[in-house]
Amino acid sequence: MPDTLEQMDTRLEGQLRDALATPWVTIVWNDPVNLMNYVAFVFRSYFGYSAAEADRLMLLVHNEGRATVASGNREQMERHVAAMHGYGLQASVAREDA
Amino acid sequence: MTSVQLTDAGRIRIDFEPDEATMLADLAGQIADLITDAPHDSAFTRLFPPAYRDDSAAAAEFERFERAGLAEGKVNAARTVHAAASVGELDPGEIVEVELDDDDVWPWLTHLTDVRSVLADRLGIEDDDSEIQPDDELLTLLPLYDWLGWLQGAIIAALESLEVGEGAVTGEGGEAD
Repeated sequence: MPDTLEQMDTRLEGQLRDALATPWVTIVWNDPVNLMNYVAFVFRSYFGYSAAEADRLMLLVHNEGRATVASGNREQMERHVAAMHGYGLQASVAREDA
Repeated sequence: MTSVQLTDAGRIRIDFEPDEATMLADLAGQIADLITDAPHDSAFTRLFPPAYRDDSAAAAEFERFERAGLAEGKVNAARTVHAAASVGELDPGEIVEVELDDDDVWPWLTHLTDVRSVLADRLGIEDDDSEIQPDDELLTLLPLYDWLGWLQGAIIAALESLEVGEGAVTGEGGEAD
């Protein structure tokens, strides 16, 4: 569906503001469905993390209920979150200081 | 009983009992229909979770841009599994052999999570410590839910054995996260 020019302007403004503001993060949340080895496997495959880093993040998700798995600009984080939803993980975008 | 192995070519091969393959194919078909046809389902909050937890406007905007693509991916994954697990008439005792191409692995893994997410919704599994006491109608879903998790874990274990260069193994399921 094409955007109207007005919507595009609004979105561009938002992107400019975001680029200058606090970085954003991708958070993966614990859920009762996904297996620990699946979560770690997704982190290795998608983000390219080492087995040790993927396991560390997976255990954070498991034990603390959430883990920050990436940070950067808002658009990148939305792309990561969409990918995580594609894998069936519970993930969300937030400001880094939130 | 279902077994998961690596072939000499490094591919995943799953041997199903006919009943198990039929059940998996039926479920996959139902999930594809659910995502395609249902305007809303209680499982959708698990399949399509909000991308912003404290900003409903941003979450709605994300959904507007991403939902169709996500749904398409999940439906395609369900159809991949449905096609592979659908078998015609079999002789008694015959095994259903499914070999996954490299392109099939992620559709299988993600679909197994999606179908478990829907079953978890029906069973009322809300967190790691949920004590499930399903009524009679739902009782058959619980072993199915566990079996699907075992299958996903076994596929991952086989893939991991490939990563570290071991030979073919029969994988073991993992603990629920």
